[in-house]
This record gives sequence, structure tokens and C-alpha cells, in this order.
Amino acid sequence: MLDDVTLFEALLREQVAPDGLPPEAPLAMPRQVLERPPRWRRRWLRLVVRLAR
Amino acid sequence: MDGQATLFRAGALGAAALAAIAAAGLLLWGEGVGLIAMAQGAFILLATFWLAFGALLALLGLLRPAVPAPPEAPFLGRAVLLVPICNEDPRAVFARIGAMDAELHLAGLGRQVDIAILSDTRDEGVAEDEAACFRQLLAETGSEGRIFYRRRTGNRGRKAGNIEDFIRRSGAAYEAAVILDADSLMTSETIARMLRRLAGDPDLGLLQTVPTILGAQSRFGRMVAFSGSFHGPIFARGLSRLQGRTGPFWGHNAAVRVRAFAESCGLPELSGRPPFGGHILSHDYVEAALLARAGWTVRLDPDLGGSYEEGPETILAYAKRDRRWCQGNLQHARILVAPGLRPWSRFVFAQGIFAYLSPVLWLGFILLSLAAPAPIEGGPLLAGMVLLLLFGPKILVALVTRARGDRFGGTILLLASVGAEIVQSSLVAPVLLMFQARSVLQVLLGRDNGWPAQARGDGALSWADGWRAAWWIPAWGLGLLLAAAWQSPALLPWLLPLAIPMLLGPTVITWTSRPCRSWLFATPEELTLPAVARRTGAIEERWSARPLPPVPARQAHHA
Repeated sequence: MLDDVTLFEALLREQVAPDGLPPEAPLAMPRQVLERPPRWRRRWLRLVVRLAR
Repeated sequence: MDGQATLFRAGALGAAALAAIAAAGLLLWGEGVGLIAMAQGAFILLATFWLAFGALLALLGLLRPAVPAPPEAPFLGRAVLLVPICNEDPRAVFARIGAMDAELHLAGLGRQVDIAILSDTRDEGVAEDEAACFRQLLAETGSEGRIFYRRRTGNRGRKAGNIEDFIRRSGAAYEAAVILDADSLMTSETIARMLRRLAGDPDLGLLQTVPTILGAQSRFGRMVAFSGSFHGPIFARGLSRLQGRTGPFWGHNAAVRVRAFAESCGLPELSGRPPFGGHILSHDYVEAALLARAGWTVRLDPDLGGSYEEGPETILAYAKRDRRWCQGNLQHARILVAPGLRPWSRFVFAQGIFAYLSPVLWLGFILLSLAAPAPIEGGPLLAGMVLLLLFGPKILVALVTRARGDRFGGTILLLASVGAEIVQSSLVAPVLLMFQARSVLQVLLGRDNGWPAQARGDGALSWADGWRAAWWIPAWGLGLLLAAAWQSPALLPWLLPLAIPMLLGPTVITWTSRPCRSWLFATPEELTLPAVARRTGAIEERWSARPLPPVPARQAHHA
């Protein structure tokens, strides 16, 4: 019985395409937020909240 | 670690602020508080703060005891070396990879560490050579299924996008990735230690080494290599004392925890157009900040040797690369107020921005002094202070650590090299200052330079090349001298150290581009070439002696 590490390695080898491409093993990479919303959006939201109250 | 770093940060910032206030005070002493004087004072305050902060890194780096070595543990997962390339010399790139692969096998890491060459090459001829070199490497090493080659047809996001593409498609197969540049070389021992350190600290997201320049041939290249090899580790130790958990990432010769990188470093496009919008050019600093924001430790380990890169061989090649860095750093102004960033990350962005604004501040100060000359009571003291901040750290490092001289060809040769480096850099610095000031103005005027191909292994420049690229620098030097002679002859002696190198700009560019076989600027890597570099050279020589095998079928690639 193959241990988990050896089995994983064997599965990876099977996934390797013969033309030298890296293995297919997708990993999510979500876009990060680096910009704050424009000021007018915040002011509009504040106005909406005040009106709602 | 954080508490000690906080103390060091407070000390360094406080000392730099004091130096800046002292400099501004010396300038304004007896000048009054007119508008021009206040502007001059503001320029000197800002410029001196960053100059002093940089000088303090040397002092911090000389402190004892040394930073203790971090914990290590066996690395049980799989790792991959990522080598993003774009229109590079295929033989040189694949020779380096072949050398590193051989070293990994000798160290027993061959089955645990894969290598992925990620090509963004646009030139079809170069791409065919890349595929041929890849086939040659596989044939020689039998590493099918361990060394991969992938070429993108589109290069969205440039280098950062190239790495992101790999992580999105193949990242789940690996615990760790060692990110390299096309000209990077690392020893297997260093790679192994980086992986063990990742395993030894579960919170560590990124580990940066301090690369040393290999293979420099020209006067300029060897000067930069010497400075990096001798002064670099001390300044890096100083930086490591300030970093806490928010250290730097310089884009290459670093190991990342793939899961951490994937979760935290998906870079967006900034709104608006380049140079301030669009893809993030200097992505490495942003990725470090994002990792820190997500709670991961980003750490610089200056004790790790065995990490190498090539450097620019001419002032023009340096200026070309610097133009990209200038745009990238100024673009960080858009990220200064990004939500959730750690305060030290914001400070590092500001530091990068002012690294490029400082030349403009110094020039602005000089122009204001010429426009409205006034006697500066504290002039000699101010000049002395600036010279001390510029040269003092280098001299101090040389005197305190001269015992390292045996690695640099002997103590006398070492001290002579330090002296020569100070003299040569004094000639080069005003020329680079002008290029940097021009870059800043170009960026502020909205000119996008993108990411031009880096010129590697440049040949010597002719005087005509130097003149064509930098005729405007002697023009500026002459203009400054004439303005000083007309407006304020008393300023002339202070301007000479800046103006004379500017007048000689094209000559300095040409002269420093010439090969230099002197004993000066000898580095440990020059005197004893590392084994991985010797192996690289042997592979390159073997491949250059015969044609590469033809590619049997078109290498599959994707957008």
C-alpha cells in the first residue's frame, strides 16, 4: 500500500503533460482591495443613511 | 521581535528627524523666514531626513549582538523554483537552471524541488531557442516531470501576472516557491535553509535573501558589486533590525509560502491610466505589504549567503532599470492610503517615493539658492553634515569590519577599494541624480515607460553613446555654474562637487562602462567563484560549442 506522500507524487506525475507544462493544480488567488472608494460614494451613503433615519 | 523592532524604529526615525531639523536650522540660521528661505528649509528638511535614515541603517547594522538565527525545521512538502523570463538569453538562463538543478540533486533535494521556467517572451526566434534549450536540458538531466517550461502568449500583469498565472494553474501542487529572476543563482544549501526556515515558522509568509552581484566586468558594474558585497550586508542587517514582521520583498531570490501568497497577493489593476494607474509595476513591495496585512510575517534574513544576481554594467543600463523603479515607486502613492495596511508598510512606500523625490528636492534647493542667493551662516556646518551622512557610514563600516578584509583580497586592498568606491561614486552620483530627476519629471508629466527589456551583459559604450544619452547633463552643469557665477559667486565652491561630474557626464558614462581588471573592487565571489557559478559557466561553454537540438513539435502554450 503506497503511503500518502508517495501516492500524491505518483498522481502528480500522471498529471504532467508530455510537453513539459507544469502540473494542473489550481489554487484560487483572489484580487485584493487596494483602493478606497471615491469620497462621493461615502458622502452619498451617509446622506442615504441620514434620510433613512 | 515586534517590540525590539518598534524601539529601533522609534530610535531611527527620531534620530533622522533630529538630523533633518538640525540641517534645516543650519540653513535658516540668519536667513530669516522669507518664502524662498522656507521652501529651501522644507527641501533640506525632507532630503536630509531620508539621507540620515539611510545612514542610520549602517549604524544599526554594526550593533552587537547580531540578530539571532531564526528557527528551522525539516521541510516535508514540495517546492518549486519559479524563473520568470522575458526575451532573455536562453542559453544563459537554462545554463543557470541546469547548474541549480545539479546542485539540488547533489544535496538530495532533486525529488522535492521542481523548477518552472515561466516565459513571457514575445520574440518568436528567442522563444524557439528557449524551447530548444529546454529540450537540451531535459535530455541532459532526465528531469522530465520535474523541470517545466510554460510560455504565455499574452503577458497580462507582466512579471507579477506571470507568477500569478502559475500559482492559479499549478500552485496547489506546492507548499513553497522560490521566486528567482532570469539572472538569479542560488546554492542548494541556501534553498534548503530557506525551506527549513519556512517550515520552522508557521507564520512566515515570505523570506527574502540579500543577493550579491556576480559576473561584473566594467568599472561601474564592479563598483556596484563591491559596494553590494561589502557594505550591503551591514545595511541589510540594519534593515532587518527595523523590520519586525513587516520586512521587504525585492521580487526575486526569495521564498514564499504558496498558500499565503495566493490568499494575499492577487494584485488588482489600479484605476486610471499609467503611470499612476493600471498594472502595479513595483509589485514586490505591494506583495510584501499585502502579506503583512493578512497577518503573515515577511522577513529579510541577511545571514543567508549563496544568493546571487547579475547587475547593470553601465550607468545607462542602471538608469534604464531605475526609470522603471522610479515609476513603480511613485505609483505607490496610490497605495499609501490602501485600507488595512500596517503603518510600517506605509512608511516603506513613503521611503521608496522619497528615494526618487530626493534628487528633485536637492536640485530644487540648488535652484532656489541660485534664484535668491543669501549668505548661509551655517553653510560650512551644513555641508559638513551632509558629507558626513553621505560618506561617514561607508568609512565607519570599513573601519569597524576591516577584519573581513581577507575575503576581499586583504585589508589594505579592501580599504583602497572603499576609497576608490567613494571617489568613483562621487563622480557617478551627480549623473545618476540627473537621470533620476528626469525620470521623476517624466512620471509626474504622465509618461508611461512600461517594463522595457533589461540589458544584461552590456558591452562597453563609446563616447558617442555616452554623449547621445547624456548631452543634456553637461548642459545643466554649465548652466548651474554660469548662473552661480552671475548671481552668487560665493556659491561656486559648493556647486563644484556636483557640477564637475555633470560636465564630465558623457565621459563618466563611457569610462565606467569599460572593462576593468584591477585588483580594486575585488569581492569574495570574484576571488573564489561559487561552485554553482562555475557549473553554470561549464554548461554554457558546452552548449555554445554545438547547436541546440531542433524542437520536434511546437511547444504548447497558452494565453
